[in-house]
Amino acid sequence: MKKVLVIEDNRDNFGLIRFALERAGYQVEAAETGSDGVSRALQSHPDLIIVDINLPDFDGYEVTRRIREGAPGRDVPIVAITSHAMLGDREKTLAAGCTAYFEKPIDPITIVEDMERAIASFRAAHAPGGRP
Amino acid sequence: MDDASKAAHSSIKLPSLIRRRRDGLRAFSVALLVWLVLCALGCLAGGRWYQGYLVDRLRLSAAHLLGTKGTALSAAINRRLALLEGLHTFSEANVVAADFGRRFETYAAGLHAGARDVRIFAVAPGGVIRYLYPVEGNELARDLDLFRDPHTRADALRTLKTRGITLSDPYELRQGGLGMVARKSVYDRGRFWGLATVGLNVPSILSEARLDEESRFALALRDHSGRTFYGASATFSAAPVRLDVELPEGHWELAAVPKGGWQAAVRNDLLWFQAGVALAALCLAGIVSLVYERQCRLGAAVAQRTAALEESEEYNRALFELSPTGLALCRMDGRLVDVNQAFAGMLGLDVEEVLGHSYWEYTPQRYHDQEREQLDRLEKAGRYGPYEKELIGKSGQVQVRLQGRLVEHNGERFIWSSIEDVTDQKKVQADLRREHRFSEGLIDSLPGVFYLYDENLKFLRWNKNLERVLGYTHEEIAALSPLDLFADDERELLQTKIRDVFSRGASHVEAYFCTKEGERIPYFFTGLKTEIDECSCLIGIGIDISARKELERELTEMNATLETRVAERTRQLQESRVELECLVEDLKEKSDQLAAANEKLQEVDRLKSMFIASMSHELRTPLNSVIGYSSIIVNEWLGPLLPLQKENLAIVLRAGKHLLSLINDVIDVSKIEAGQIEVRPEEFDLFDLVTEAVQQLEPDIRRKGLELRVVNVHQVLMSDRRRLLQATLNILSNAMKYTEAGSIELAVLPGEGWVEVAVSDTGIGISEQEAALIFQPFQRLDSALRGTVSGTGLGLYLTAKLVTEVLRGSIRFTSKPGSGSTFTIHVPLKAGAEPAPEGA
Repeated sequence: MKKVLVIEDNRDNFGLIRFALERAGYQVEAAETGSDGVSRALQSHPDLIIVDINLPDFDGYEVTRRIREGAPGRDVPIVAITSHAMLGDREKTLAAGCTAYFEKPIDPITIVEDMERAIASFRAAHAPGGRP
Repeated sequence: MDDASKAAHSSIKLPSLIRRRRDGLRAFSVALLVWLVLCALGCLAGGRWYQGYLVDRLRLSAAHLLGTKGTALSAAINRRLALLEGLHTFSEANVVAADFGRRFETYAAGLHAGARDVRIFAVAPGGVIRYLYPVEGNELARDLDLFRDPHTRADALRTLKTRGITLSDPYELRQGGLGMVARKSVYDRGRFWGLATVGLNVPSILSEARLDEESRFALALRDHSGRTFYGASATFSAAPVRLDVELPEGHWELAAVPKGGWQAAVRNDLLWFQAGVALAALCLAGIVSLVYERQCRLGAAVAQRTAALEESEEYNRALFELSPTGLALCRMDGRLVDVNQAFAGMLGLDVEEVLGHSYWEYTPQRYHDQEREQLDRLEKAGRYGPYEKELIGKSGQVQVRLQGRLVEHNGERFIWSSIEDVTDQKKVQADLRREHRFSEGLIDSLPGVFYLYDENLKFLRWNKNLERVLGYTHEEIAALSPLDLFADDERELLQTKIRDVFSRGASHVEAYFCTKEGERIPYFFTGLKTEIDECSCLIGIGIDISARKELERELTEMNATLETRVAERTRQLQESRVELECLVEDLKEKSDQLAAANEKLQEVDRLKSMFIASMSHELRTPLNSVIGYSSIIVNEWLGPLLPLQKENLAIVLRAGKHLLSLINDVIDVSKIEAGQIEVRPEEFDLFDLVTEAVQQLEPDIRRKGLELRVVNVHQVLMSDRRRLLQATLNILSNAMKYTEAGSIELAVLPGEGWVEVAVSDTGIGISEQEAALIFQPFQRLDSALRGTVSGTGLGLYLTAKLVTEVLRGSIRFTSKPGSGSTFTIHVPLKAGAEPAPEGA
């Protein structure tokens, strides 16, 4: 069973994501703050990390950077969840090391499928021998 | 060009002519020498030929002579042989006669009487002479047996054989002289009986033929044995003319050569001939040389004369060419035959351009009558002019004075004209006249008086004003001195000033003119020394200063009152200034208040936008949960629902989504209005953007049963991808919302530096009234669909704002109510600033 770490402080949102992921067969681990998320990510080696940009201690960009710095060479996909009003999120998330990003509101019906597709296309684009 | 001018233009060099003549003389001498040699050779050859000719003629005449002599000789012999025939016939007839002897004697005597030169008639029966006549002198012949005598035997036997006459060669007779014997056989009834013999005397025969009577030619005869019996035998070896004299038996050869030989006979004639030919050749040579000499003299004279003529022609030609006066030769009809450069130059043309043209072409129409008048004069008097007219030159008209005369050349009449350009002269005269009029007008129009007088104070020129002001006539002024025009008390001053002018060059003075009536008028006078025709003069003007004097007086009065008025005015001004300063102070204060109010207002506006933005954000978080969880329930992930439950929850979900999009739009609008919207340009392919938009909306469009056509192309853009996607989604979802049936078409139209995204539908369309409001906020189409179509009323307002303010493009639409609309987004390929650095 694949393991997913979801770093999200809003419980309502977390509930929606967990519901969708578990329905798709993922094992979900939760973290409510950025620091908690980083330590869990480095300890439990999840197969996928979903991070909200708005976190109480530090933002999702910082979380992503720390995870990438703490585990160099490990290519775990990190998907960022952003809010509509935040402009330039796409660039920021990708610059921070995210694999994909999604805007709120999250549609629990399609979110898992969309994430898997985004990760697959990112992998295809960044695979050795593929486009840089 | 005409003959006359051609002759003038051609040229032959004189030295070459002399050389040619010298060459001619030498050639002539050679020719003469050759001629003489040829003549000498001719004489020799001709001599030879003529000699041959003369000899031939001589031989001809010799042959002729021989013919005559030969004939005569034959005749003489034949006549004598006829005697033999007679004797023969007599003998044959009388063979049997007993008295033959007697009969013979009678017959022979008869024959002898007719031919005394016959030496002997004899009949020899059986070859022995029995009968002979005359006996005297022939006794020795009696009884001579002819067949036995050695001298006669051969002849007798021959006679016997031939039965004809035989003739012996001439021989020396025993008794002296040349003799010859003719014999013929006599037959008696077919049998030989004897011989009839006649002895002939050859000299008598020869003399009968008159051989010895020839003076020019030496004649010789020889018998057929080759023995010469008459003349010299040498004759036969001196190329004689020969003739065979035929005899009854054999022949004699007669030869003739001129006495002294052939050469000698023709020598004189030849000499004469040669002398004559030589003389003729000399005469001919003489005549030819005389003629040639004459020809040469004539040629030299002609050459000399031609050279002289040419020299003079050349001289004349040079005069003609270089003459500063225009010269022209023309036909009576006006066609110009020859002109010089001076003439052509007046017209501003080259000589070649003028030749062949008529002077009428260069004559203005208004001179034509005058021109004909001059031609009449030319006809009557042989010359015309001088008169003046104008010619049409290349660069304007030229004033000329011309005259000319009639000349005749080879029977044709021409006009020689000399033309002088008087344009400048005329201009100078006119200028002078104008200048004079100008100066007269100038000095008369001067406002003051003008005067010019010499050192003797005699007026030279003045203007009418002077006469008018002083009241003097022209003649009176001419007689007056300038000092006479002033009162006694000022004359000394004037005199000093005039002296100053003549010594220093210029001066001026104010003085009172004293008129004829005695009135005094104040004047300002100027004086300037000037040289006119080497005579010092004073030129100057005087200006009436009465008005100025009056003004000066008034000014002095006014100055006194002015000062009091200025003081009054200054006080008034100071008072107004204080009031003004108070006013300015007031205004400043009000302005500050306004600035403060404005600042406050801007702050309030910013706060409003910020409030809306943050409030909307806060509204959105719980709304996300509403939408998310209700969508889980509606999808029956938590378990099956009753149809009514599902229907109601779907309404909750739709309303939640509507509220969310409304909030999103409100946030965008408030950001744009607050100027807080951020433009984020990036490079992307429009193809991908359109694909993304279509992917998002295609399921809904299909669900609604509409056909979707997409015309997509690759086009790289540098723009705000997200906002362009938002705008594209907006117009595409609008098309879907307002189309119940039919199709939707999305097309990308790339252009030069821009690209368009057009969405057409077959929906309800937009009426004209609605069209005016379509881009206003909170306006929705008033249609039957209003109730069923969800919308915020901000969609197109926001889209237009995004396209124009963020993407720097434009949006437009066309529509037909009831049949559909087309919305087109037009954006530049590059919009806004460069993308911000990553991580910013």
